Amino acid sequence: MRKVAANLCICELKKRRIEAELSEENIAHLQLDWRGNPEQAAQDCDQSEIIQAALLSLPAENRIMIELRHFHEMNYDEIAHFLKVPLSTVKSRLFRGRKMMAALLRGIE
Amino acid sequence: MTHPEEHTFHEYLDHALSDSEMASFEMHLESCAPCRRELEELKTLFVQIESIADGYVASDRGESLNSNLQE
Repeated sequence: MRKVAANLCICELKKRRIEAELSEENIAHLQLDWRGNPEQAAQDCDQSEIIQAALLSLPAENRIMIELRHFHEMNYDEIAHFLKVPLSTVKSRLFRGRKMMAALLRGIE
Repeated sequence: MTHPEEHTFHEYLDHALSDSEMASFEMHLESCAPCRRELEELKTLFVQIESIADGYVASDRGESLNSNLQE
């Protein structure tokens, strides 16, 4: 049941990402809307599953920044060197990825 | 009151500010409750993200990282 709920979480997140296109204008409106029953959904879905689903729903260019910074503890310069992109690109993609994560996770404890 | 730009909050938590920038930011926080709240929200997000580090399995992480390693 929890796995089904987790898969539903992932499906819903992917669907919302596709629908919203994660543009700047509507990032603020993104929020996990668990079919009108957030309490029930929270019980069905582990918080870690929700967070993972949110991360996996991000565009790859933003997700990889979060992975390298938070999971591999690389600093901005290291990430820029590793990915062969400008430092400014690292920052913009990382910060935008975090902003999308925050929008997706808004409301869960 | 002029508030720090959004990127400053991220750079502060990423330890990417210079000493003077950090001092200036922290001085602002002392007198700005909204910015303190914003910082706490960002800290919470960091905790949430890092809470899944151990069990995290990326759907295409291998491809993403490997493609860059091969370049």
